[in-house]
Amino acid sequence: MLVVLQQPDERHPMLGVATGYRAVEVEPKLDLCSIDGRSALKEYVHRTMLLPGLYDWLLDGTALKHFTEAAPGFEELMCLGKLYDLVTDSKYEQIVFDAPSTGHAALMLRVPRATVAAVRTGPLHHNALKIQAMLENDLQTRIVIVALPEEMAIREASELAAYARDELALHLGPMIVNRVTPQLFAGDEIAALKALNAGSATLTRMVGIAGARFERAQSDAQHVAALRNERPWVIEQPQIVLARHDPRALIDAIAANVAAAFEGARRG
Amino acid sequence: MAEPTALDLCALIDAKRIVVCCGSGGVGKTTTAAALGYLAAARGRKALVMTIDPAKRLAQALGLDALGHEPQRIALPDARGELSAMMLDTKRTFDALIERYAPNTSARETIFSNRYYQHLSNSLAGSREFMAMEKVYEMLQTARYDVLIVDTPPAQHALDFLEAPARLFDLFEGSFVNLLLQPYRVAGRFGFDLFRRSSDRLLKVFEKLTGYDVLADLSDFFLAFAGMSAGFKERSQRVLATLRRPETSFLLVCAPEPASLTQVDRFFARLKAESMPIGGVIVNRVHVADALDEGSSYALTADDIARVQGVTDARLDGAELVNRLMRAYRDQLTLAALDRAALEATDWAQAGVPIHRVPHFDRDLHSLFDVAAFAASLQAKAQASTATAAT
Repeated sequence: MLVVLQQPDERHPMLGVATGYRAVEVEPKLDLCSIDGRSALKEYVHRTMLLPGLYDWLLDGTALKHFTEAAPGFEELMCLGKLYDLVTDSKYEQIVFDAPSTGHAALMLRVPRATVAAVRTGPLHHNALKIQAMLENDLQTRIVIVALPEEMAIREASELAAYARDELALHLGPMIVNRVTPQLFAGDEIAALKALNAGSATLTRMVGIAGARFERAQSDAQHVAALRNERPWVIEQPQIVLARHDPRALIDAIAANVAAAFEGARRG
Repeated sequence: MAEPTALDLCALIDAKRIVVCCGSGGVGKTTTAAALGYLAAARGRKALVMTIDPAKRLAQALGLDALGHEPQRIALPDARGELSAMMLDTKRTFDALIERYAPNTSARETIFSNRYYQHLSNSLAGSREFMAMEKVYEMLQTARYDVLIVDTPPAQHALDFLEAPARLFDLFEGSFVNLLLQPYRVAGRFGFDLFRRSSDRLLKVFEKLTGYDVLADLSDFFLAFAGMSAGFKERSQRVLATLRRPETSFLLVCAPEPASLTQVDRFFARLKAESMPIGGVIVNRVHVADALDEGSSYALTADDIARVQGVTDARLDGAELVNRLMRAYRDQLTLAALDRAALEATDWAQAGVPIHRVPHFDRDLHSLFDVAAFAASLQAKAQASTATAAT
């Protein structure tokens, strides 16, 4: 199950399928759903209240919207609660949650702890405890951080990793560095090519592009190397250049690379 | 498709008092805001770049370890103007507003000591964005800066920060808070206890979901805040009115990828609905091809091939080097064609919205020096389609 945070009925940018709170089958072994706090809350009320039909007027009214907005972190907690339900539902072997970007992800992952600390008793406290236990369970949950090979993105990813591990007691999976420019040239090749002082305009242009690519690949490789010094497991995802926008081909290529990295790690 | 209208960022930065950079995450919005600030200072203006993002990106982009809640001057020896930067602290801005609008010391202390306010006010619906707009207004009033450049947090759903004031006031004036406050207005927390034991099904549902303590804390907070909401509302309306004036410009920052460009469509619709002045779009990391590349078949002449093979020595395979050279060229042209097609497919590009394309640099931008290079690319009047990608 792939879980995303998207507006209802928005098409998933890579899978091209309209998302909704109810799971849709993308292909035989892959379902997709989009979660939001209010839908998760409605589902929870239906499951826990006697005669849930009596509450439909409330669940569809503005009071519920205002309530979720008034109780900070409540919406995020409900989303994580839905994840908890999916994890404990035996229908799925694996749940992949496409979490928000770095700053928001850190806030979201902190919500169960903050709730447990701020609310000492009651159902909110107990549900937050269960969710926190799921997130902290090494056998159930791993945080996979994805970053571009850029100074700021890598630093933010490192900080998120340290925060998740040290402050939230979460367990980290591999860190994936995406769109790493493959290095095609050696430094002395570029120097020799640049020293060519004649040739067609096309050749001059090609040499210019080769030089720029060399620099970019060097810079990307330095970021990956720096990360490898900090993190035990870094997966490098080379930039894939396709002749046309083809999300499916991109997914297949990335999946093959990541699967090979996992297989390599398994074999040690 | 006709060449898009060029966005003249120099004219924009010279004329505007507020420039709001918005866009989704990971498109270079913070670096763009920093570069615009640098450009303004280079052109003789006193600029303040403000970030709302809790991440430290703006500080990093400006070569600093950290940024504080107060403007910090950035040393730019060659600039005719000045550049300062700051990172918004939501809690402190919220505190300052409460100081301003609390009717008396008791009301102020009640809010400051409320557990709900202390722990969770940072994430109250829209509070971060609302406080950011408040800070923009406050800095504008000081008249210390000629231009404020606002780096907004990545928006998941259109323009969260424009919607923030309305969301906040919907909340304060909405049925849920009224329901919470009704018993309090009659008899304080004792009334609340009585009321919740009565038959109000709505409150019972919320209590079952959250527990009594949560509802009681929320009630305390909203009751103390009730007397101040009129002041908050009036101020937020003034902020929104300022944003609608011609002295403000919204710049949409994106990457030339379908998902990012689609987001811009939504931003446009939202800004138009709110009557906000749109400056144009900055498209970052555009792979560019030049006129020479148009219709290229990646072909080298026999003479070119011989030259390339001639540079190799025993360690290098000349024929193989030619192949790699052609692959790098082909990749660049393919990426440029994809970026161009993605841009041309957007409604806004076809509608003539001014665009500035920033070329994909051949290195990462993360220092003041890089920001200066970025600023130089923003200054270029010639559009990136005729530039090279190399810095």
